[in-house]
Amino acid sequence: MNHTSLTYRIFNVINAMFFIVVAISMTFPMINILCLSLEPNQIAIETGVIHLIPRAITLKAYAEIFKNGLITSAFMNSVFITVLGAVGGVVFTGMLAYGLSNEKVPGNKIISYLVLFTMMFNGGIIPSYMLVRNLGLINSLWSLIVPTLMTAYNVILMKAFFKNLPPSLAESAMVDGASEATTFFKIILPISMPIVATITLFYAVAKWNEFFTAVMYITSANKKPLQVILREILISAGNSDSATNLDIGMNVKMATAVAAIVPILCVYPFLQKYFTKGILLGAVKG
Amino acid sequence: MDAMINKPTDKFQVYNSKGIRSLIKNFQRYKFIYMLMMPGILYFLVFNYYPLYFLQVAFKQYNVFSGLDNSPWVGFQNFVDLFKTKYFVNALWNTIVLSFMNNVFGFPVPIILALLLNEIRNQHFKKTAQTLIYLPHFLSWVIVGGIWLNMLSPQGGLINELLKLIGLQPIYFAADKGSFRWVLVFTHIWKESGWGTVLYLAAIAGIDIDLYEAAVIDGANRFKQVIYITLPSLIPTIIVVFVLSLAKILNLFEQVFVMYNPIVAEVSETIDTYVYQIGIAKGEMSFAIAVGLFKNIISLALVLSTNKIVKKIQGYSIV
Repeated sequence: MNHTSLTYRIFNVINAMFFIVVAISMTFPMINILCLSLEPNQIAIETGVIHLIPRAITLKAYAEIFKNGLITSAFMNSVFITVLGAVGGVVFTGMLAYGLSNEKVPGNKIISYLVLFTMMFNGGIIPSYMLVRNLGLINSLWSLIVPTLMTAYNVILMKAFFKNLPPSLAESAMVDGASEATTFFKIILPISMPIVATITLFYAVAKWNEFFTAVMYITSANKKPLQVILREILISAGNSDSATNLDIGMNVKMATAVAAIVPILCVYPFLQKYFTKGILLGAVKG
Repeated sequence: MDAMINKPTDKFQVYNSKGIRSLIKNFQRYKFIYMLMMPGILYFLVFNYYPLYFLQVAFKQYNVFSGLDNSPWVGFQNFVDLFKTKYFVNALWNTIVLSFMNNVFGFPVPIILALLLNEIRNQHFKKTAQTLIYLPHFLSWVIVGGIWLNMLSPQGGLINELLKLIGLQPIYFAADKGSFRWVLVFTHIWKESGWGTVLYLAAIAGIDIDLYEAAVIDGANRFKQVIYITLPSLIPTIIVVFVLSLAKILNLFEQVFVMYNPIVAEVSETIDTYVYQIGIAKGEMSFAIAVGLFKNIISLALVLSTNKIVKKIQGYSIV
């Protein structure tokens, strides 16, 4: 057993260097836009300079964001759909997944298959558009929450987690006379907090990043969520004539992008904590 | 992945004894479970299965004034016209090429990263590296596309500045038909391969330690252990990931939509962006739905046939 053999040690060094390069390549784009957001506009648009460390720092770009009514309303819209979408999503998904994880329930296999099938075949964007239109949800924020409330993938993840719980848990509760309902709320749910947290965060991130459905369904500027406004800002030539606004400098563009990333960075440690603890390990094993 | 792999079992074990009476008893017993599942089932019925009703428009000549039910039936004519349309055929080709590139270059990356990550001894370093490589997956394409387009810009973009530093000419990556597909593939891999390692790392962590110990006794070095134990143990996971990815293989929308422009549209217009262009932007519903239906049938056929092949080779199926 030659863990300290020369080849192995060289490999370790190279491997470490490789991951340092990989880590840098993942982060320098972020550092780039952070730098651009902190520089005054004249410096931010300078060519011939590498923008990784700001040559002058000003928070003016961020002040502009908060002054801009369109951006702040976009933020609020995104918060609204994220919170409702995540909570609603995890509740519906968890309930369905728990039911599907119990093999003794008649119809279980069929329903599982029907859920899985939606991953492989669906109507497409036009039929979905027609449905949303018929439901009268066009230009309503609810069109960004309800039609995309659940995903089959998350159902499968939660189902795998529930399946992986020791059957003795539920069985001993039943033996003691607990009903299915009591078992679910008092025994299974408390112990399933890790997967509930993980899936909530998955849905939350998805809703926060929601872009295309908003492009399709939302027409009023003040109902547009953050990613849509962000996109409009990023592609504007700086002297905007549309309903957005006047003279968006490069630094303000980048500041908006940074502001859109910050909430994700905030929940990120929590995400990490839960899924590196082996949540998905359970899903894979089970 | 046992939960996702269906081993052949006795399908009738639920209905074994006493027939209908036992069935009704079961329904009553699990009343709570059924109530619990109801909302989720309703959701899938309304938002995933009901829209399939609209697919019939693919076989009609949709007229906004006559509405859905009164538009004339044209059978497969829409599909025939589709293949005669230059833009559709082009979009189809682009989708195939881009998907192919994404998979050939992108599929092995998470596997290799996972294997290499697994070799890192220092837990702190490993966790930090993981944290950093997962991050791009959680950002939207608006952001990722925006950041990369900015960095690849010929005026002051970071990448071009670095090129100038080593003496090369700046390249207008995003407006060059030759390089744009590579831009798409590269940014796609940059964004998604980190996250792709999660499943593989979890699978690796689940491999029986005894296997490694036995290999060490037999004199295998670290490298041989990876080839003969880790990789083979990963094959079930790899297969599941691969089959599931086939379902999405023709879905290339948000990234392209956010990053492309009229100059490179010829090499990057995908099926979905084409559907958007003609369906939402131009209102040619029949065509748009026909394209969507076509795409879905192909994906479904791919998944089912690959599933069958896997079943024959490995003895179990994913779907």
